[in-house]
Amino acid sequence: MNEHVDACIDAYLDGELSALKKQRVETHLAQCSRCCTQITQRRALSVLLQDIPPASGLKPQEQFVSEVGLQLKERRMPMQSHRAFYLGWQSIPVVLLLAWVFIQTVSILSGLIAVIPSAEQTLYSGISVSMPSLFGLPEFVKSVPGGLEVLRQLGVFSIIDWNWFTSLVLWASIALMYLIWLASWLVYNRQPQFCHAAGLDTH
Amino acid sequence: MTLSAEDESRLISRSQGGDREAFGELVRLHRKGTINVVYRMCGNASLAEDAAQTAFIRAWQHIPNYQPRSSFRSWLYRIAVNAALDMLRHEKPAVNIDELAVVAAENVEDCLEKQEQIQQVQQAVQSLPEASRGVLLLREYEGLSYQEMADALDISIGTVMSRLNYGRKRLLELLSPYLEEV
Repeated sequence: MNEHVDACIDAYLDGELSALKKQRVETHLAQCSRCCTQITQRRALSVLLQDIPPASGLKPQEQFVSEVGLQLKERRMPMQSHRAFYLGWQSIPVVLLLAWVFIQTVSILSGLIAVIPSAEQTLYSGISVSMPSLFGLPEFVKSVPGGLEVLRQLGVFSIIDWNWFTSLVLWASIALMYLIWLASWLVYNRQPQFCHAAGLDTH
Repeated sequence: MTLSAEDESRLISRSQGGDREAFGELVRLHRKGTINVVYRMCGNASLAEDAAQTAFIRAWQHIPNYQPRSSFRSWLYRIAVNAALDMLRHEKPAVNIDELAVVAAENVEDCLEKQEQIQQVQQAVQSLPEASRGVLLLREYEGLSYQEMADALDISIGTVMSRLNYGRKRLLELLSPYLEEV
């Protein structure tokens, strides 16, 4: 390794190099007086900097702490509800997306049922035969055609009575809710940034 | 005052919940370090105390948003350094010789020489650009790692390295007469 290690000298002195790089630098230092001088100078600089004493003549600790304490403002929003609000706010688009997927699925299924001849009849019969206990259906419902009408009136199949108008209204509602969320998000983010307000911006 | 990381994180989460006593403990824990960081930025102890108090007040206001991805100390120093820089923009304090510690020396001449050297070092540090000064001080006096400094100043590790390199090179030029003596 013949090249000088100028770029690594600080990281080497500060113990920020990986073992492999550190070994390479040390191998180079063993044969390069120029780089060794740089290391020595930087070590000497560090010693010189340590000569600057820490601040003296400070207020007693308790006075400092109580002065800070007096200037602390009450925070109105408790942390837990702040977090819950934040999580709720972030999950709105996900909930809307899931609602949209649900509506799409139901819409496609109801479309298929409408297209396939006698699919509705078969589905009703299938459900009423396979899950009578679930719906608490009496036996006669399964055997008589009028039983399906009973199921309809009970609202069991309302999900299948889907039409394009229902889908349209729901899609529009979801789109509207998402746009409201997006607008709120944009308005919130146009406010002065937290970092700037806290004096956390990088100078 | 030392405290385990677990204890500190408990104090932080209590402070996030609005517990002033817990925050007071955090102030006690980090008061000295914060004041010294600011003091070495500006060279004025009373200004350093004011900036440190401002930093703690800002920290209290924003602690609910603190994420433990970076260390609390580096987060706090970031606020303190920026508070100090804000104050320095409004006033340019001169180095106060009275605040320099009296160094034990064999005789008065040695003592004066030492004080002059300290003053020169302090002036050299303060002549550095703010960006390099901040990185150099956090490294030399507080021993922050490159990653902690990157978190504290919201810059990349590469920028930390280049600022540190520039700061040290510049100080080597400015303080070369004293370095020969060390």
